[in-house]
Amino acid sequence: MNLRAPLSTAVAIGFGLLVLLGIFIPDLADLRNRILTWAMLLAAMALLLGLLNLFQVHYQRIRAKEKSVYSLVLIVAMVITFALTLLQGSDSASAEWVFNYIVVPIETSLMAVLAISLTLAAARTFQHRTDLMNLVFIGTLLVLLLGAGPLFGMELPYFTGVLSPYINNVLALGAMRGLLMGVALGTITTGVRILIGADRPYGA
Amino acid sequence: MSTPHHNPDENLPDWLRELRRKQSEQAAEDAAEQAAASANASTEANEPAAEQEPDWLAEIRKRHQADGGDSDERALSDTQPNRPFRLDSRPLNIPAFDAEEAAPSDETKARPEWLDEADDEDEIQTESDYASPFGDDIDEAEELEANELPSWLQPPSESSPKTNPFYMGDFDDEPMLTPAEVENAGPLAGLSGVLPAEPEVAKIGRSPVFSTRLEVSESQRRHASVLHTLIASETETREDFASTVKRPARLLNWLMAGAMLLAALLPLLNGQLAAPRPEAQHLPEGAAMFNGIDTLPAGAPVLVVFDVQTALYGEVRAAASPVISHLLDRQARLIFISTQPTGPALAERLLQSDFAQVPLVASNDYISLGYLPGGMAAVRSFASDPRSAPLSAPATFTQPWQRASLQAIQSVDDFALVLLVVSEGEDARMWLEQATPELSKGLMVVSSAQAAPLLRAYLNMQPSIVDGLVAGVSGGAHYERLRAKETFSFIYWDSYSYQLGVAILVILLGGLYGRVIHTPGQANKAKVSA
Repeated sequence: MNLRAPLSTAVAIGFGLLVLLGIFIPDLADLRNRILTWAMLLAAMALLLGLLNLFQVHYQRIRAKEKSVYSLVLIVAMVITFALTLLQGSDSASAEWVFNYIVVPIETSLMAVLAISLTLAAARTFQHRTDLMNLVFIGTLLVLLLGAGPLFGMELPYFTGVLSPYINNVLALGAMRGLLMGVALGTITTGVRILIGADRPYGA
Repeated sequence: MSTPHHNPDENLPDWLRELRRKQSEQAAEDAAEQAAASANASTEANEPAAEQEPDWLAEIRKRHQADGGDSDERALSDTQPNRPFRLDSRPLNIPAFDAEEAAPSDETKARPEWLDEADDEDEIQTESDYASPFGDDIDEAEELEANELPSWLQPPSESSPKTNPFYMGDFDDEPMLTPAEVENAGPLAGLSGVLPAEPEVAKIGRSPVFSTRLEVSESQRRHASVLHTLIASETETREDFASTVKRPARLLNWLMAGAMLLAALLPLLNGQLAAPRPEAQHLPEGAAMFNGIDTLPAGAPVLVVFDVQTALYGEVRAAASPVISHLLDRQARLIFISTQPTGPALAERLLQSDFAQVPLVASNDYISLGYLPGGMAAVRSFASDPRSAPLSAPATFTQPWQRASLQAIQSVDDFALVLLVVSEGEDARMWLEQATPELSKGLMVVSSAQAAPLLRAYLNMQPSIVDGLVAGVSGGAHYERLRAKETFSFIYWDSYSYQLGVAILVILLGGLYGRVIHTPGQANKAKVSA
């Protein structure tokens, strides 16, 4: 008899109920915090497992000679960084150098390229499709950019003082509050489904 | 008025009346002879039965008749050893009772008593001869005519499921009295009333061959083909998009990208601040943050949650530096924590790059609690009991809770201020929803521009969740305008202004090109090819 599925479901529901009751019953607050601490330790271990999985995937790619150059660079960089941090600490000079002069410039540059790419994509939108929704999207984007600040050193008072605040504080705010309401309802539904065992994201 | 009685024979001819009279007399004589013959036969059959009755049976009969005279069947029941339970105690399945059939007919009423007694004795004799629980009964049943049997005793028809050799019968069925079959194979050959062995059950032969070919319809085959193509396309190496772009379009892309880069770099290289400063009244939430920090007492512990992703560090730095500068000016004790693995390193980078000369930073009079793993659950745990949360503090901040700045901190509400520095709206939402139940006051938030619409939804709520917000480069510039201290955000302000202008021009010109020049050309090509 396979006891794995009912056991894991019972554990998930039991701990979920304990954490939930800990919010409403002060006597269960210590127990709730202890359970949450266990969850934090598990999350830290999951990060380490993710690192090992990344290593394994790229190691197999090297063995299969499938884009092995990129995988080799990734594994070498990962092993060096991990060894430096493990031996000298996360706030050592070498670990900070790797982070400040390799990691941060690469990721920031990618984001800068993304900004230019999005602008070019918006410019080429009408080459592919011209319909009402496209016009609304481009029009809203232009209004927000016009109201985001001075253009070429010139202030546009109507956009920065009237139109852009109206879009940000009325239209966007209303849509976002509705979205948050939907997220809250969805979160409650998901929580209830997990607590009654209808959803089992842990795979039982 | 009486109806005259007519004799039907009056109108018949004489020869026919004579014939009818003779037939009636002949029928009466035949009936008298038949009755006399049956009476003689009954007498002959009764007397030998009484004579052949054994002594022990006659003794039992006398004893029971002396006791009160039950029915003959009951009187003889104890003369049959090991009588099957089925016949003794279980009620017979009698068909529906018919009053007309049960009522004695005139013929029955006319029967003499001695004939009834003879019938009873026949029944007694039949039951006394009972030997096999199944065989004799079945023989008797076979002797009966089929049309005389009730429906529940009729042999099963060919269409009945009970003719199936694998039919085991229903649970509530009466035990069936099937005709005894003589086994003709195996060790039980020659015996009757046994379960058949070969060849019916253990028939040796080739098992049926079933086809393994999947029977699918044409529609199902078409869907499967589409799914197969989709899956196969996922593993195919896609053609490089850059190689498919035509040379004029690629040149245009390079021109637009170059213009945007120049717009960003030239103001930085020039060093002159030409763009007008933002108006302070356009950012009331920034003013609320300024007032909250400006009223902090000196040495107040401030928790700075630095949940910033590396890619957005440049933008968040422009917004966060004015606020951190303000806190350091107020002599606040900064305690950093992050739920992002790179968060503590980025916070350290910010302090060392922008505030290395500030005495509190130079003397390491701040604390980094490090990385807080576990996401939302960790935030909830930290907000409830900060001291019990497992933290990965850097080596330079071992045992952070032993430091003087944190001696008085027992809960997250003991911090004078909680400042969120976030790049993603979801990270901010996680802290706002999990930490605010433990706080008696709202949080201050510094974010990227993309997170601002989400965070504005939490502004001005009751109870207060977000008391102040500074978002993006423009938010940082507003805050510096409030402080009348232009140091960080205004470095980027002109570049930001020119970049905005170039981006709007590129979108407008690109849209015009695509709508007016490019699209009609494509349409003409399509017409020609058609």
